[in-house]
Amino acid sequence: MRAEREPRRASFARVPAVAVGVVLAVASTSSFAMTGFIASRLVETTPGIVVAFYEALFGLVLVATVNARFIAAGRGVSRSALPWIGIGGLALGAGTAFFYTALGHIPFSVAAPVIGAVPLVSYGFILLLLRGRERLTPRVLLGATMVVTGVIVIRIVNA
Amino acid sequence: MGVGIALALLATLAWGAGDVFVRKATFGAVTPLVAVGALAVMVAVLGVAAFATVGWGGLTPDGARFYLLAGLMGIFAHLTGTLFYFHAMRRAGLSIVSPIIGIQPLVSIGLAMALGGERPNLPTVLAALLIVAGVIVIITDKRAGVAE
Repeated sequence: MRAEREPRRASFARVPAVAVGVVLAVASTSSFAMTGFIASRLVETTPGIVVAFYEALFGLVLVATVNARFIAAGRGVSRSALPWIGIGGLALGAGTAFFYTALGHIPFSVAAPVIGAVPLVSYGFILLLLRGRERLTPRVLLGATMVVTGVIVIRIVNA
Repeated sequence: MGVGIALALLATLAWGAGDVFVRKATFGAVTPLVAVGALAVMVAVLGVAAFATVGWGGLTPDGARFYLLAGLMGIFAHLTGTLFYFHAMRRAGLSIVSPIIGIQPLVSIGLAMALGGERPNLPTVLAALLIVAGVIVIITDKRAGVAE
């Protein structure tokens, strides 16, 4: 009897964690979407590059405050990581500048689907940087084709 | 319109690459320091680019509303968005969380319609659905990824 109850209790205990995780994931994706929406309003009166600068500046202050103890410790970064931090920050900064400048030219509802292809680009760079350690499958190629087709359709219908 | 989409594509390329570069950095550094370091580089790059583009006068917009909204963007983009993402992954696992994060374009279209009064045309909405479906097809493929 007891043996029967234990697995049920274990599976019940897992449900809330997954449900909470799903709610948090929805909150996360909504947060990212809200950032783009606010940016689309601000670029009506301010250049996109300036909006991007202030978003990153406020973000840096917040993230540095939250992680103050790691910064104070002054450890945890190897020399090999520094170039990747540098070009990573450079690429992410360029992406933000491009996107907020784009919002000055096209509606948010047109720009947002295009950046939906970010995971696909990331996948391509993973293959490039981790050659031989990653594998492509027919399903990945199908998904990639769907993403590229979607971007092309948006490009054509909004030309 | 063409310029805007070209810039959005460049953003997609830069963000997609940047995510992988930052991921590479985490092999040699703790994640919080990578986040702070990459953000510091972003601020420096964007500051120099903004100064070169609009000058000192353009770099200091008037009005508290701008700074309030930019502060909110900082919270949404770098604090709650990332924080919720990591906690969601810990509780539900990447296989469940990734497809949900992948629906961001549809959430964005919903926000643009509900709060911004935008009315995207039908082909744009269908193309967004196709992109989201494609991303979900990719990230739910358990055979893809790191080779043994």
